[in-house]
This record gives sequence, structure tokens and C-alpha cells, in this order.
Amino acid sequence: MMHLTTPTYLALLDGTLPAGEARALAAHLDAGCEACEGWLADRTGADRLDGRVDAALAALSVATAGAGHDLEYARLTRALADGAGAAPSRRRWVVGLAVAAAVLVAGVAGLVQRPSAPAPDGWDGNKGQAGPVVPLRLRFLVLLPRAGAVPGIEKGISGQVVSPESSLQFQVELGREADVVLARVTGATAEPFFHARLPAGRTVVSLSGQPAAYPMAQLAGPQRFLALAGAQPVEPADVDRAARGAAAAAGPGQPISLDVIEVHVR
Amino acid sequence: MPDGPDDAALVAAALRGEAGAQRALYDRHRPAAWRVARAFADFDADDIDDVVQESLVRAFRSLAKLKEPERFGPWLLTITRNRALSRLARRRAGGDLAEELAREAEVAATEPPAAPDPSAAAELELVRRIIAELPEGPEKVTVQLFYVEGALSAREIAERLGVGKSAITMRLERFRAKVKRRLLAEVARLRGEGS
Repeated sequence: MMHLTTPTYLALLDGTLPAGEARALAAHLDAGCEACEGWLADRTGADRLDGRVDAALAALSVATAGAGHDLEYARLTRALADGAGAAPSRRRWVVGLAVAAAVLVAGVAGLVQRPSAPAPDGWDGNKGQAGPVVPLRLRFLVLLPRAGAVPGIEKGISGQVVSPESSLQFQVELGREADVVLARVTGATAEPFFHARLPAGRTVVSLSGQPAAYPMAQLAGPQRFLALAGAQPVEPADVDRAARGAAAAAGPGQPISLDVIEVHVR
Repeated sequence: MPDGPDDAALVAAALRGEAGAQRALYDRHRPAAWRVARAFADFDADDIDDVVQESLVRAFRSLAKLKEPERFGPWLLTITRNRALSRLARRRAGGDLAEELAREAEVAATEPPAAPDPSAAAELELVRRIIAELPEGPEKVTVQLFYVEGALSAREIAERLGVGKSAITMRLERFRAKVKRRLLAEVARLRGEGS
């Protein structure tokens, strides 16, 4: 019996392999051919068989983890509406920044930023599709108070619970230079606390050269933070529209990129 | 079987522009896509979320190309695996070739076969049988933790078992290859009966 080859394999999947050959192949595979198993494992790229294998494997578990949520679905629908190549998804934080510096109060006018070079293997925004929308990601670290000078640091994941004693340190990642606004949403309005023109790559929101963080003190319940970016200056109306939950790019004027994170303070 | 309309009906409704149908597809299939991405031990939580989101966007954007709407789930998972592989390839070596291959595979996956495939229930039963037949040992433990219990990612399993990420990846891939071979044998058997 010949081992699997690409033409045989594809013909089998397509249903065009002669029945006699299919029967012989079934017996050969059932006999546990390690060469064919290895050949299947080494195939580059996934195909319909992979999808069915994964569907069967996924059906094994009754665990409910991995369920979707409104924030992600909103991102997906925005990405579909934008026509971009990828969802403006979020948070690939590279730990190791020198952020153990003082936790400073954000919401202060005059926040400045410390740009860094684009990540070598990081996000590539629209994956080669040039478009009017600026690729944007909002990331954050959660800084936790500790008895000592240096706060604890953990990577933030949207939707997580944080304590009122913690602070959020934001990082903005852009596919290209853009005007950026960060705002906290309260009800249907937004409170901008950062507005600057930032370069492509990652930028840690900083104050006077020191990483700054947004304190959760006196906040309770879900807290939503927006990042908006545009090639031209982002207008207050853009921020208001985003705060109301409208697709930012759907408004008049330039296309606006939007990313959002949410934490629950308790 | 999932509650509510079947996937074919939801795909048709989504193509008619019914937002609720698209959301229902998202809610129903997102966990499986997430599990596929979690099998890659090189990925952290952000990578996993990114792969899932990219895959869903691609799937919804290409929905009109799907010729077997009742197979939306496996089709989405094919896209998810390709997105994950492309991401790994980009990270390791630039990976333009892998990207192209992945795209080709996604397109190919939209064409229905000329002969019937095993049912989803039969495929699930086969996978259960394969797990039951595994000898006791690290591979079975890993498979149980990842696929049956489903609470831990490949990376988390490596931490729990105190082994390297590559060992977990290898065990899961070895098992998956076994499932692929056995499932392909089932496909071949069905095709052979078709004469």
C-alpha cells in the first residue's frame, strides 16, 4: 500500500478518490501507519480535516470557559464595519518595562509620553492592508500597592476585577503616527484624561518622564476606558460618539480607530 | 445538539443581515475557537484572544463563501488554526509562505466534498474511543486535562505538570495526529462504501 500523498489526500477529502482506493487507504490508516500519521501532522496549514478534528475535540469538554462577551463582540462588529483586515484587538503586553516607578495620579493635564520602537514580532495592525484607519491597541498594567516602595505589577486583561487600591497604567500601541485620546466613560459621557500626538509603536503614558497610572480609588463597579486614534486631531465629538457606544468610524470626518478595556472595581 | 436554530439557519440569517444571528454564531462557536488557540503553548492569553478575534472577523467577512453552512463550526476552527499557525510563523521566521498557504487552505475549506463525510456525532464518538484506548501515562493525562476537562491552557498544563511547554505541545500534537489519522480512515471507509 502506498502511503498518503498530497493528491491522494486531497482527492479523498474532496470525495473524488475511487472507491477501491479509498477502501485500501482506510485499511492502511486503520492499521496504524506511523508514516502517514507523521505526514498528516507535518502538513503545512490547516484544512477541512483539521477543522473537523478540532470540532470533535472541542465537543469533548463541557467546560464553559472561553465564552464570548459584549466587549469583544463590539470590537468584532467594529472591525467588520471598518473593513480592516483584523479586529482592533488588544493587549499584548511585554512585561519588563521599568514601571516600578511612582504611581502617579492620572487625569492631570500635561501628561506626556515615552515612545518606544515598534515591537519586532508584535502586532502588525491591518496586516499589510493599507487603509485609512490607524491600527490601535490599548493595553494596561494593574499596579497593586504593597508594603514597600515598589508596587506589585500584573498584566491587565479586560474584564478583570481590580481593587480600589490599585491603579491602571496604560500603554498605547499604534500602527502609525496618530493623534490619540484616552478617556474614561461614565454613563454616556467620556472624561478625556490624555490627548497627544504619538508615534508608531508602543507608548507608555507618562508624566514628566515617569510612567503614570490611573487610580481606582473612589471608583466602584465597571469602569470602561477608551482609546481613540486618528491621523488628524481627534475631536471632542469623536470621543462623545465613542462614549455613546456608536461605531467611532461611522461619524462624520476622518476615520477614528477605537479600542476599549473594562475593569470591575471591587 | 445546541439549543436554538442550527448553524445553517444562523448562517443564512446572518447573510441576510440579521445581527442576532451573527451574535448567536459568535456565542456558540467562540469557546471552541478559543480552545484551538489555547493548544498553542507559545501563546499567552493575549495571543489567544487575538487569534480568536482575527479568526471570527475573517469568518464573518467570508461567510458568503461558505458552501456548507451546516459546517460553520469546523470551518471557523480551520481558520482559527491557520491564524494561529500564521502567527507562530510570523513570530519565528517572517512566515510569508505559511501565511499564503494558510489563506489557500481557508479558501479550499469553503468547497463542499463530492461525497458525504462522517457526522459530527460519529466523529465525537471516535475521539472518545481513541482517548479511552490511550495507555495510561503523560499523554493521556495531558489529553484529559486539555481536551476533556478543558479548564487549562497548554501553557498552564505545562506549569501544573512541571514540564516544558514544548513537551505539552508535543503530546497534544501527537494525540491530534492520531485523531486525524483515525478520522481520515473513517472518511476513507465512507468513500469506499460509496461505490
